[in-house]
Amino acid sequence: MSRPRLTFLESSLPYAVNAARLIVMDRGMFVADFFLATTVPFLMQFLIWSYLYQGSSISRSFGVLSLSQTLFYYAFSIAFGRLNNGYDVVSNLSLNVREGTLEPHLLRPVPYPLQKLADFMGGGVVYSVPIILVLAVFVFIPPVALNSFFWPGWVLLVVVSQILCFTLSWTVAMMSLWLVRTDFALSLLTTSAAFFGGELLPPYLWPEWLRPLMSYNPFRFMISAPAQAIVTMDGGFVMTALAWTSFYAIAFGCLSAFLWRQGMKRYRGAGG
Amino acid sequence: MKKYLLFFRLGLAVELAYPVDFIGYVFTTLFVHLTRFLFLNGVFDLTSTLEGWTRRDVMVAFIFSVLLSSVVDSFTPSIRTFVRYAHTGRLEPYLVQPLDARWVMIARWIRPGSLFIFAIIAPIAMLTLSNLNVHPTLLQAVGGLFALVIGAIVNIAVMATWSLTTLVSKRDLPTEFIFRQVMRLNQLPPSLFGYKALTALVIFLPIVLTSTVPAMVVARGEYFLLAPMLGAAVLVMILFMISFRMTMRVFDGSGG
Repeated sequence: MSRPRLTFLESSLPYAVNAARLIVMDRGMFVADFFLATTVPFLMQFLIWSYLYQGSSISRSFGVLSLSQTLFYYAFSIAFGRLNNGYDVVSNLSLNVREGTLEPHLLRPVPYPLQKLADFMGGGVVYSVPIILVLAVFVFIPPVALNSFFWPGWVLLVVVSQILCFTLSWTVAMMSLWLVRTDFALSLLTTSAAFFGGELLPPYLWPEWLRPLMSYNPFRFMISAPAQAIVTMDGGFVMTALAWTSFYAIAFGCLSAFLWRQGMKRYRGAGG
Repeated sequence: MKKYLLFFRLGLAVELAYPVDFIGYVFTTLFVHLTRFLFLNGVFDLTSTLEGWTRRDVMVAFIFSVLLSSVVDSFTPSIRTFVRYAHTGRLEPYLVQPLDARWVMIARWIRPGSLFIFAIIAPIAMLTLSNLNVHPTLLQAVGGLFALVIGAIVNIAVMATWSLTTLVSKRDLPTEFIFRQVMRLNQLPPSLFGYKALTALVIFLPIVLTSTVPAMVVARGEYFLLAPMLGAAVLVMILFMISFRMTMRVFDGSGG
């Protein structure tokens, strides 16, 4: 009797569960990572913006957000920057290619890119904890009106932003198949995410000539768009952001699929 | 000494063997610095001073941070590789070699390519300093250089000490990522922290002052943090030595 064919979801679920379990097992690291990598950048922004909003500077308007909104914007975008971080996606593939250990993964029934997607989403479940913590403070401390139309859209935006993060990072990871050593691609990815993602400054505070780029680049929809949406509770913005995020996710998905096929044609497995 | 110079030559050879990666690395690093420059510029478009520090002072600190990171970044890949080998159970062959294991960690896999960036940036930095109307006296220049060297030692020792946790926990802690996040605080004027926090930072987290202290000396003629930072450098080096010895006793080489 032949075994029943597993659905895609059933086959890829163990990858997601494993990734989540690995992070939970290493919870000491997760906590250290959270406290240092998430709170320190927030502390920096807190010190700057608390200073800017006090005293003589307060008469100047820094866009549309108040001090508390600005601080929540940074708390959310830094937490999203940590959730939607494609570093491992690129470094794992790069390491496998460099050490010539990709083959066992290619032999499995689930296509390798989908294994990595499941893996990434599984890890994301754990890395959403910091976002939930910020969300708890945001929702309960100054009471926020619970708009039933807003929340499903926002949750969907978060999920699609994760898919976009994966497809974009996977596209960058494809460089490993051509260049072997991709250390610079990794730092390019993390820096671009921090800079274009809006973790440093919200798009509307950049000089006029940079604003279109800062408002509509793909990193922005991975990191600061969900943050801006929740801080402003703007349903219209959620819809616009959702459209842009889906567009970029599909575009990078197609591009990475094409590059994967081309890359596999030239991959020899000898390492480098 | 010859053996350790060999690390340098070996690292350079590896770097030049992958020219596209090397060029990409140079451009990426310059891009990283550009983003930080634009951020600081953006902040100073909104205000004229940050707790007494002007745009000029912060830009001098920025220049020092670029110089500092181009030195420290050469050693980062070595520390990272050491930890990866420990994590994957492949470190022993390097520990039995007739070399000081601490130097193996810090310099065996050195990638001196970022020193190339130092060579590009240093003359530009000099030019920018004079454009910013910063004309340090001899004492300020020597003090600034001294602070920069201290900063490099502090950064390398702290990153190495943090990385040692992998040898005990057998987990691949994203030390470099955490280090880089903490280093972001180097963009802030030290006065913004307040006196008490500043004292605590010198003792517990001196890495966040490593590029602002040289700027304080060169741009503002303030020397009061120079001696505490020297103390901090000695402290972090002793801490590294002790931690290294302790972790090597516990380390069983099996990987994780």
